[in-house]
Amino acid sequence: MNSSKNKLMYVAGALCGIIILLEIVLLVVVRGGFSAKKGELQQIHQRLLQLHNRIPYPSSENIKILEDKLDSVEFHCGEMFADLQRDPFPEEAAEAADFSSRTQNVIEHFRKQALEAGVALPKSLEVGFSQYASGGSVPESEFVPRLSRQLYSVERIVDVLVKSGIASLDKLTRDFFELRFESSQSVTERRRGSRGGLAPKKIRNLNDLKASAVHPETWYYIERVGVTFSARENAVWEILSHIASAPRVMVVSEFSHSTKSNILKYNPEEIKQGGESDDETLRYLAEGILVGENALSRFERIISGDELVQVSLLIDVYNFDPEVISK
Amino acid sequence: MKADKFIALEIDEEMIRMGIFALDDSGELELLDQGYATIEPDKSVTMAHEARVATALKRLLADKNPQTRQTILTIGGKSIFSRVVKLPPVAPDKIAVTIRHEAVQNIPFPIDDVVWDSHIENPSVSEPDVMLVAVKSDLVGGLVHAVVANGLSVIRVDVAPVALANAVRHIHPGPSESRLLIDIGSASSQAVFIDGDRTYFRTLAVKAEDKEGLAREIGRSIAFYQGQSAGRSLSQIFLTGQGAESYAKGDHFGMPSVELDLRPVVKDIGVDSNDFAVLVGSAVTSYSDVAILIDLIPQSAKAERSLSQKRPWWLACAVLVILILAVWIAGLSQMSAMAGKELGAVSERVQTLSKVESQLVPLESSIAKLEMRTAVYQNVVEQRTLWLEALREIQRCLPSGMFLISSNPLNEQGMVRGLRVEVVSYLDKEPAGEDVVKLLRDSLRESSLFSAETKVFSRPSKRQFVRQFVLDIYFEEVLSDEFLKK
Repeated sequence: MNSSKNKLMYVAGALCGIIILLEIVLLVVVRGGFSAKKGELQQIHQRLLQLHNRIPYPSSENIKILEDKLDSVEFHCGEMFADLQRDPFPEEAAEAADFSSRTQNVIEHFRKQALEAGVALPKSLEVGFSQYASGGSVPESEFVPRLSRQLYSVERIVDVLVKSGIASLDKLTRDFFELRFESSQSVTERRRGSRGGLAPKKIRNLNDLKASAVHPETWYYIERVGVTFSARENAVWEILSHIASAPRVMVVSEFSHSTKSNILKYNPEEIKQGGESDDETLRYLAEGILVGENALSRFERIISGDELVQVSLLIDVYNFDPEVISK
Repeated sequence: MKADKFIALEIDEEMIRMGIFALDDSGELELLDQGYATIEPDKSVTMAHEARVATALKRLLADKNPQTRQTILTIGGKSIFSRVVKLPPVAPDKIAVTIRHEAVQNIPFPIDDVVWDSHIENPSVSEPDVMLVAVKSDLVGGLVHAVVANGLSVIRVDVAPVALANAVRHIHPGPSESRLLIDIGSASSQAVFIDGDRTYFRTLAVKAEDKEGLAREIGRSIAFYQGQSAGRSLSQIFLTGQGAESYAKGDHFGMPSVELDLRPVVKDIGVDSNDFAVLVGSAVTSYSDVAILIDLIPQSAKAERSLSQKRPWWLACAVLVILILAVWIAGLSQMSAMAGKELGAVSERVQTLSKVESQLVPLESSIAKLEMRTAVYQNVVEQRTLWLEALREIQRCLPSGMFLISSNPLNEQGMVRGLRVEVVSYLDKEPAGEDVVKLLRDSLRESSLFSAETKVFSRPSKRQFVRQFVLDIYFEEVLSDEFLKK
C-alpha cells in the first residue's frame, strides 16, 4: 500500500510536471501571440492618431477644398509665370555660319543707337563677342543657342542703358562659357588619345551650354552680363528703375560705383586768396562767384556731387522657359 | 472513530519484534497485530547486520502487511550507552552547550561517531541530572536504512531501556516511589531503576537460565543504586521479558516481584505481554505526559522524513502552479481575442481614412510644389528691386551735406552680403558736437533693410572742410541664392 501510495505520488508529481511544462509552452505561445497583436494594435492606433491629427483631416469635404485650392494656386502660378515671360527669347533658328553676321548687325545697331543718344563708346565695341564679330571665327554649332541668348540679353541691357541717357558705355562683358567648355573638351580629347579607342570620359559641365546658372529644379536659367558705364546720378536711378521693371526679367546682382569727383583735393583757402593772386580764374572765382552781376547760380556753384558717376553692374538676365534651353 | 495506526519495532542483535498499534481519539492504545522475526546469520554469504535486518523485516512485513508506514524504531541489546551526569549551575541559554560538553566528556566514543540524545531528569533544581544516551552512528544509520528500505517511514528512534522506563512511568505514574523493572532476555537482561524523575539502567550480560548469576548481578545493581541514592529502598520490582514468568514465582531478588501488567494501557492485549513491554513503552512515549523522550534518529533520516512530510505540500503547490498558469493562459487568450477584435475594428477605420488620404496626398503634393514655385518666382520679382531699394534707403539715411563717393559690394564666400561705401560729409553742415558718422551708422542699423552688423570700416583724419569715412553696410538678408555663388 505504501509503495503504491508512493507510486501514486510520483505519478501525480510527474503528471503535474508535464502539465506545468505544457502550460509554460502554451503560455509562451499565447503570450507571443498576444504581444504580436498588442504591437500591431499599437501601430494601427498610432496610424489612426496620425490620421486623426492630420491637417487637413482626410474627408471628402477637404478633398473638394484642396481641389479648389489647387485650381487657385495653379492659376496664380500660371499668371505669375506668364508675367515673368513677357519678353521671351526669339524662337529663330540660328545657324553657326550666320552668327558672325548677326553679331555684327547687333554691334552696328548699338553704335547707331549710341550715336543718336550721344553716348560715348569705347574704341572697339564688341560687347564680348570680338572673336565672332567682323567676319571672325564661326562658333561651334552647340554653342550657338546660348551665344544667341547671350547676344539677346546684351541687346536688352544696352537698350536700357542707352534709353536712360548714360554718358558713356565703358565696358560690357559676358560669361565666356565656350572657353571653359573647350578647355575641358581638350582634356577629354587628350585622355581619349592616350587610351586609344576607349570611350571618352565626359568631364564637361553641360550646364555651361545652357546658362551661367541653373536653378536646382530647372525652374529658371540665368545669363550673367557685366556692364560698366558713366552717367549722371539721375540716369543711374533711371537705369536701376528700368532694369527692375523691364519686360525681360533682369536682376542687378552686384552694384558698385565711384564718383569722378576731386572734392577731396579742393582747397577753399586758395579761392579766398585768389583775389590777391595773378591767376585770373582764381581772382574771378574769388570776386564774382557769390556776389555781383557775375555771381553764379546755385546749380553753377556746385563744386561736387554732380559729377559723372561710373557704375559697374552685374546683371542676371532670367529665362523662365525651359523649352528654350532644351532646344 | 478513526484511529492513528503506527508500527513499533524493536530490533536487537538477534530478533525483530513488531507491534501494530492503533491510538484512537480517546487516547486508548490497541495492539492490532504483532509478530517477530529472527535475524539469522547467513552462513554461506557474509552479510552486513543492516542487510540481515532488512531481509528479516521484509519477511515480517510481507507476513503482517501492516497497512501503515509510520514506524517507531526501538534499539535493544547491549550496544546502548547510557550515563547520568550532574550539570554544573549554568544559565538556561547555556544548558544545551553544557550538555554537549558533558556528552563529549562522558561518551566513550568520538562524538561524531555516535548518535546521542539527552534528557534532563529534574530541570527545576540548580544542578540537574542529565541522562545521556548514545548508540554508534553506523548501527543506528544501518537500522534506519534497513527500515526505510522496506518502505517504512521512521518517525522516532528510541532505545529499549528508556521505552521500558516509559512503560512503567505510564502504567504506574506514582512520582515518589522507587521501582525496579527487570527485563529478562534470553541473551542479556536490563535493570531499569525508576526513582521519581530520575531513571537509571544497566545492561546485564547474564542469560535468563542463570538464575543465580542474574540474582547476583541484580543485587549488585540494587546496592549500587542505593549507594547513589543515599540508601533509598525499592518499593517494587517489576519483571518482563521472556524469563519473567519463571522469576515471578519466587523471591529471587531479595523482595517480592511481579510481572509488569500491560493491560491498563493496551486494550485486549491477547498475547504474552512480557514480550511487548518495550514496544508498548515506545508506543506510549508518543502521547504520555510522564515519558522520557529520547530520539536517536540520524540527521539524514530527519531530513528525509521532513521531505517526506512536505511531499503533499509540494504536490499541492504544483497543482496551484498549474491553476495559476491555466488562469494566466486563459486571461492572456481572452485579452488576445479582445485585442484581435479591436485590431479588426481599428484597421477598418484606418483603411477608410487611408483611402481618403490617398486622394489628398497627390493634391497636397501638387499644391506644395506649385506654392514653392510661386515663392521662387515671387523671390525673383522681389530681388529685382533690392539694389534699387537699398540704394534709396542709404540715400534717405544720408543727412544734408553728406554724399557717397563710391560703393563696392561686400562678397563673402561668393555671396553678396552688403556694400562698402565711401562717404564725404561737409563739416559746416554737421550739427555741433555730434558724431555724424555714428549717427549715419545707427540710422542705417535701424533700417529694416540693413542689419545690426553695419559698422564703420575706417575714419581717415578730416580735411579742411570735409570729413571722409568708410562704412560697411550689411543687408538683413543675403541677396543671392546659394546656387548663384560666383
